[in-house]
Parts: sequence; C-alpha cells; structure tokens
Amino acid sequence: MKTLQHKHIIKWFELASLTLRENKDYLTKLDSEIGDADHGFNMERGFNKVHNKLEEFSLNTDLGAIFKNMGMTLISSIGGASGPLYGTFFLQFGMAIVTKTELSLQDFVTAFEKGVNGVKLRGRASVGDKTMIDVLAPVADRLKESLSENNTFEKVFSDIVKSAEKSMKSTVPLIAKKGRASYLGARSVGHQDAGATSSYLILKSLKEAIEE
Amino acid sequence: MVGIVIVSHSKMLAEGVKELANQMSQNKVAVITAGGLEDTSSPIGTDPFKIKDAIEALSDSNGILVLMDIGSAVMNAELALDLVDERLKHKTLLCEAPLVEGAIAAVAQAMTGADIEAVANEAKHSLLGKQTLLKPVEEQVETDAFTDVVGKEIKITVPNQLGLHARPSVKLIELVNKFDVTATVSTKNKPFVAADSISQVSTLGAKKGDILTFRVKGKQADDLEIALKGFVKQNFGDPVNTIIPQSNKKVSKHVNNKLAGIGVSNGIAIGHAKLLKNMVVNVKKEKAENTLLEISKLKMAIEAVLNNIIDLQQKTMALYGKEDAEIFDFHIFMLNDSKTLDKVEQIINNDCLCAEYAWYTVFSDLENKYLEMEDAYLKERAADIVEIRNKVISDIQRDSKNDIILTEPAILVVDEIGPAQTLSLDTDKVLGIISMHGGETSHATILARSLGIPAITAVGKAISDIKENDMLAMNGSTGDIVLKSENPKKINVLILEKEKEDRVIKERFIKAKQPAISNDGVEFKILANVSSPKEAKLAFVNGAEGIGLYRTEFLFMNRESAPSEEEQYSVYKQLCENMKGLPITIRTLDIGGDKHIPYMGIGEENNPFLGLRGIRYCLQNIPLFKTQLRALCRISAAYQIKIMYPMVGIVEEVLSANKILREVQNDLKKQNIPFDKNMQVGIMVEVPSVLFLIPQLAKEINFLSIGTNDLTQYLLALDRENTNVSKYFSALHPAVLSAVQTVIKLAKENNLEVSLCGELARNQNATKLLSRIGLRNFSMSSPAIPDIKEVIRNLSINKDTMNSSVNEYFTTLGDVKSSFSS
Repeated sequence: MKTLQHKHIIKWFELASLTLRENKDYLTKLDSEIGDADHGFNMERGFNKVHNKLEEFSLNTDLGAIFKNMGMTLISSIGGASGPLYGTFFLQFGMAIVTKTELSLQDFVTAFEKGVNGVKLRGRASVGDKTMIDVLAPVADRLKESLSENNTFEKVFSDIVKSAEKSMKSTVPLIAKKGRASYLGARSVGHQDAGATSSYLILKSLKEAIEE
Repeated sequence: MVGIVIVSHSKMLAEGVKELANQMSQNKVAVITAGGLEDTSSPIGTDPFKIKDAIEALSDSNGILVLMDIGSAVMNAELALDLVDERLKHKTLLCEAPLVEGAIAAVAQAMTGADIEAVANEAKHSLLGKQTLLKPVEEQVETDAFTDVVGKEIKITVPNQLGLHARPSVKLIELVNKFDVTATVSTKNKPFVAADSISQVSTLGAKKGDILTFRVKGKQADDLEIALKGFVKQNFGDPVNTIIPQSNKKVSKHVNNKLAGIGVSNGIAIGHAKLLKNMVVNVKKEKAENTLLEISKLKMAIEAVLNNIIDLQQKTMALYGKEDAEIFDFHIFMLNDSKTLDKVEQIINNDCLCAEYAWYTVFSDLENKYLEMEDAYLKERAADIVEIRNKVISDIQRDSKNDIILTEPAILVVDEIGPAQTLSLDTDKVLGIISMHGGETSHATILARSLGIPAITAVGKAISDIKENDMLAMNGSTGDIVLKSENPKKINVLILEKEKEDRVIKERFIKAKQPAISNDGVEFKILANVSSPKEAKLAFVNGAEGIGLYRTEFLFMNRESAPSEEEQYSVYKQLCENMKGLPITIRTLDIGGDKHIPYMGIGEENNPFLGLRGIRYCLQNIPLFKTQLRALCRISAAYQIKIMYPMVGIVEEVLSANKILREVQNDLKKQNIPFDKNMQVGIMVEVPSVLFLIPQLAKEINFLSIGTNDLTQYLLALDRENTNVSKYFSALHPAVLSAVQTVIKLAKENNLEVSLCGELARNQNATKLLSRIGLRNFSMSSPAIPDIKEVIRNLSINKDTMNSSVNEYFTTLGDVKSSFSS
C-alpha cells in the first residue's frame, strides 16, 4: 500500500478510541504509580469524544480538516496535560496536510514530524525526560529513514510500532523530568511512563487500521 | 488598567483566588477566572477554551496578566494564547508567579495603573514576604555574610552639611528599594554594608564631602545610578542652607564640676526636680526554653512598638507638622530592619538566649557604634537607638515604668530622653527638661522646642547633684542650672530674669497684636494660613487676628486610613486653644489635583486638576465628609469657627454640601450634642465660574475667600509647574486682579465677607495694590504678618483707592510690575 486513504484514517481513530477505552485501567494504573492517576480517564474521555465525531469525520473528505478537528476535540475534552499535547500533535499534523484527500508516505512523514515538533515545543520535553516524546521522537526519526527505503505503509507501520514498543519500555529506568511524576525525582525510576504508553497504543491502532 | 486571568485546575480554587484578589483591590481590578472543566463527573483540569474566553473578556484592558496553577495549566494557557488574535496575544503575559500571592500582588500593583511589566514584576516577587518570614536561619547566616556585591560601581559625594544622618539614610534606603537591585555601600575603606539596611547605612558615619561607593547588581543598576545622582542634586533631601548649631556658644563651662549643660530649648523654668534617672531596662542573660516562642514574643513586641510609633507619628504630623513627624521615620525603619532582626534571631537561636537579652545586645552594640562616631550629629542618634531598644524590651516585659507620669508641675531630670517619650509628656506639668546626655540636635531636643519646653542637655555626671524635689531654676538659653539650696541669691536673679523675659515676649507680642490701621484710619484684618496647631501657636504670637485658612488635609496625609471623628475633634480643639478663642476658618478636606492620598482611592485621572478634588471628592464620599463636619460642628459649640468648602464651581455643590451639613446638625441635635446653629459657611473662590454665580451663592453662604494660586491657574489656564508657560503665571496679572476686583465688588453688593488667602497676601507690593482695589482682609503664613501690618499702617487708603476698573490702569503683567518700582 502506497497511499493512506480517508477510510484508513477513520479506522485509525476508531481503533484508537477502542484501544484507549480497553486500556483505561492499565493507563490509570501506570499513572497512579508515579503521577496523578488521571491519564487513563482523560484519554478515554478525549477519545470518546473523537469516537462520537467519527460520523462527522467520514462525511468530510479534507484530511487536513479532520486532523485539525480531531486536535481541537482532544484539547477541549482531555483536561490534563495530554489534552494540549495530543491536541497539538493532531493540529500540527492537520496543518501539514491541508485539503489533501489521501496521503503519500512523504506526506505522512512530514506531517508526523511537524506534529512531534509541536508536542516538543508545547511540553518543552526532550528524549529521556520520561514522556510521550520518548516514543514519538524515535518514531519520527524512523519514519524519515523509511523514506529512502521505498517501503509500503504496512512495512513502515510495522517497523514503527516495534520501535515504539521498545521506546515505551525504555522509559522504565528513566527519571521523570516533566509533569507530576517529576516531583518524585528518582522514585519515578522503575515505572513505565503512562504518556509513552498511550502514544504506543495510538500507533499500534494505526498499524491495525491498515491491516484490516 | 491591567486585568488578571486566574487559571486553575479547580474551579473553586480559581474563584477563591479571585475573591481574595477582589477584596484586595475593592473590585477595582478586573479578575476573570478560568477554572476546572465543564465535565461534572471529573471537574478537575484546565480548558484552553475557557482561558481563551477569559483573555478575550479582558480585551479592553491595557494588558492581561495570566496566572496559572500547576502542570497543564501552563500548557493550556500557552495554547489559549495561540488561539486568540495577534493584538490580544501581544498584550497578554503568562506569568510564573505563585497563584495566590501573585494574584494579590498583581492586583495591588494594577490598581495603581501600572503597566503589564510592572504588574508582572510585582507578582514575581510576591513570595519575598513569606520567604523572609520563614527562611531557615542557616540561610540567613549565609546572606548576612554575603555583604559584598560585585557589580556596577557607583560613586557619589555626600553633599549635605549634616552628612548621612538619620533622615537622609531613610531616604537613601527608600530610594534603593525602589529598584530591582542588590546593592552594598561603603565609605572610607570601611567594609561594604547592605544599602537597604538602616542599621548598616546610618552607621557608616559619612560626612559632607565623603565619597560613598555603591556596588550594585541587578538589571536596574543604571536606573539606580541616575536616581542616586539626582539624590545628590537634591542635597540628600536636606535644605541647602542648613545652619549647624554652634553648640560651643551656649555651653556653660563645667568649671569645678559646676552644674550646667547645653541650653537647647529656650526659656527659663523654676520648680521642683522630678528625678527619672531609672530609665534603664533590666535585662537578665537568661536561657530560652523555646527559641521559637522567644522569636514570636520579640516579633509581637516589635509590632506593638511599631504601631505605637506610627500612631505617634500621625499625632505629630497633625500637631507639629511634617518635619517633626519625620523624626520617627528613623524609628520605623529601624524596627523594620531585617538585618538587625536577623542578628537578634541568630543570637536567640544559636545561643538559646531570651529575646530581651538578644535584642538588648544587638541594640547596645548599635548604640556604641553611634557613640563612637566623630560627628556630633550622628552621635546623637544613639538616643533614638536606646529609646527603640528600651521600648521593645519594656513591651516584652510588660513593664510601664518608662512611662513618664507627673502628678504636679516639675522640672524633669533624666539620663536621656527619647523623642517618643518627649512627645508623651504632659506639657502642662513639665516645666523643663534637664538631661545628662543628649545634644542640641537630638530628636528629643527638636521636639522639646516644638512643644515650647525649656531644655538643657549634656549636663554630665554633675547631674547627680540634683536630688528629688530640690527647688531649682534652669535657663534653656544659657544652659545654666541653679539649685536653691546652694545659691538662693542666684535663684532670685533668675526669677527676675524670667519676669524680664516674659515681659519682653509680652511687649513684642503686644506690638504684633496691635491692629493694622492705615494712617487715614481704615482698619484691616490680618489672618494666618496654617496647617497644624503648632503653626497656629506661632500665628498667635505673630499677631494674627484669627485663622483665615486651616488646611485640614494635612491631618489626612501620611497614614493608612482617615482620622476618626475623635482624632479630628482633638486636633481642631488644640488649634482653637492655641488661638485663644480667635475666629478660625477651617477648610474642609481638599485633596485631589496635586495632593494625593493613596487610601482615598482616587484613581488615575487624565486631568486631575479638573477632576475629583476638593468638595467634589467629599460629595462623593459622604461618610468621610460627615465625620469631618460632625467634628467641626462639635467644636463650634465652644469656639468661633467657620466652615469653608474648597473648589466650589457651581451652586449645586454648595446646596449639596449645606444639605449634608444640616443632616449632621440634625443628628447632633437628636443626640443632645451642642453645636453653634449660626456657624458661618463660606467657599474658596478658585474656580472662575464662581465670578458669575456670586448673587446666587450669596443666598447659601456667608463669606468668600479668594485662593489666588488656583484662581490664577484656572483663569489663565496656565500650569505654573510647566516652565514653557509659567512666565506669565502671576496672581498679579491684570486679568486676575480684575477678577479679584469683581469678587470684592459683588461680595459687597451681596453682603458677603471677602478675604484673600493665597501666596499673594504676603507680598508687600501686592498688599498695597490689593488694598487700593478695596480688599481689607488678608490671610497669609504667619511670619509675614508683623511686616505686612507695618506696611498697612503706613498706607493712605482713601487717597489711593482705584475707583475704576484695574484694566484702566494695567494692560499687561509688565505694567503691574513696573508700577511697583515707581
């Protein structure tokens, strides 16, 4: 598969909503260990709103507009820090693909990078701070590499999910530098970051969305 | 004004912070909240759209300061900024200040009309107060050792005659505190000390010509340099021609242990001695069981003494004026000095000693530092230090033995007396003061002069010759002290001298009291302008035939809230007593324009001189106005007083003010409190519109008083402070003279008394000129009265009267001026 269609995007968002709902307690458990125990709840709430909008999204062919709408939906409904962060990711993503009705790998990679940069700026976090950036930034790098390899979306997404899973697990030994967990300092070591985990779950949904 | 947005995860918290901030600003600063989420099942969180709405709600503000609580609040606020339009984004600032402290500090600053940077800056520093209170002691030790700041070096030369004494020190510290800097200062290779600590700055002992070297760190170092240079130009706030008292002249030599000292406050007193030499505090070096308790005891005592001194300062301000009141700035700064308090706390904590002992040690060291100074003037500040030391210790020990209570008239014999003690003296009972220590420029001495109590200081050990109840005489002019038991003849001489002195004063007074009658028999009334009962005392001696203008606003200045009815009553009463029953015209509160009183809450105005000032303010603040009128009406029962409204421009204002006056009088009547039903009411003629309303106003009032300064500025539309236009600012301008002539004529036609109470009245040429256009009542600052009376006595009024308009005589200001030289 060389282009990402409108239906794939809708499917992605739908699967992400379901996955985050299923993993609500898991995320909450991770967040309760070193954070404020609201990540699972917040993500479920945000993606429930997204789920409610799927019908509206399917009627709109402009992918840029859908992503932006998605971003705004998350911003206005999540409440915690993940709202502005994921919201910014999708907003920035959307801005890079204005009026497009399908995406080439090049389109996707550029937009993804823009989204990640937005998150970095918004959260002022970098790799190693024990945040979602620990997952998203290596994925953006991996995506850029894939451009020269002339791979299919299936291959690329499979690669990035593997990379994301590895990155997610690599947050366990880190000391949190951002968010509520940073108040714990060294005590945050030994726990997997909830934000990195939700990022992994969202990317996993993306891979599954094109497999069906 | 700058508006504030409060962002919090919790709606209740945001609303609570807003409630606190509104209480601070009395709802004067717009505060909008963006708290919590709409989702009732999980209401905790921040919503960027709410924040965006809040920012947009303040779009009319001059700036928008956003204060946030934790975590995502910041991120969502940033996101909100991305969502608002560029114009709004530009004037919005996200501020890292702590939410509660920051909000309170921000509104307090915003109220003043400050810009967004200033408001943000204030918010950012809002933790300082709490930090200084709670900082662990270890840290304080470090900061104390850190006395030197490397940074910009600024050198200034001490310009004023008396050097860096108490008042300039206070002013210097105020100045340094205005800027965001850390500064240390030194002179003559002494170690650098903190430039914001009174205990350290005033002990530098810098004299005229000494070079002060500042080391300043901080982004406003350059601004401080400019301000310091300006401070030098202002002669450190001292008058340029300070006369250094020539002490030597007055010292009676201590030959053969002769009992004598420096005569510092004139007058002869004869009476029995009352010894109060036990004015020392007893402090034992006791271990503290609980150091925290000791510190809190100390802080409470400091607080109590501070409140007491502030009260005293306000009382002094009302009774004796600004200069005497400023004496207590030193006390206040000293009690607030964090460096000194740090030292005391260190002793309490490190050595586990009781608060009294620690305080005593630190202040005694400080006293010694002052005593070691070469400069006599600075040396005398030691008495202030001792007074502060003892007052706090007496408060901790709940000991009142240092209160001086006299049951019958006596001459007070003391080791040393402080300014606060001097002020607390009952002037009817204290005939004179003799002290072992002290000097000519000690604060207590200055106040003794204000109180008119003869005083002799620096008597030394010989003072022990005076025993309780000894009959003695003292001469405050020469420093002589005579004990009746040793020299009965000399005492008689002094009694004769006193009689002679009284006679001289009486004669001078009789002459001043002579009425001002021109050589062709026209009688003038010469009154005084005063701002305090002290000035009234002087006015009486100078022969004022009454007070033409008592400016009550000084009673309201330099304090946190308006004086109560009782406080006003006691000051007005003192004023009337000092004028021995002569008529007194009291002007109701005249603020606004250039007279600003922070607690009055007059906001920033584009044109304050055309804004809320004088009677306009009072009519909008009726409770305050009524309090003053009530105090005045009560005084009218026993003394001849008249009430005068300032800044009247239209008849409506007089109608409203009189209505309020009648309400006050009716209330008094109901409560059976006496007042004078026929008390006269008048207005200042300052606003030119009055010229066209005199017949109508005459139905409501009894007299007019022309205020030449404001009348000139409003009539000519010239700002006298503005050097571009002030060339023609003169109350002698033909236009102003013509207005005065019109007022006199219309007043006569309408049976109104008229007087003139501006600066013009003390100008002798002006007096002559004004007498020619028919003015007979002048009110001026009292030292000018004897001369003006003399000028009038030499005038021939009937011959020189201008029967036609002044405009026929003068066209330009130059014409008026050249008429003086001819």
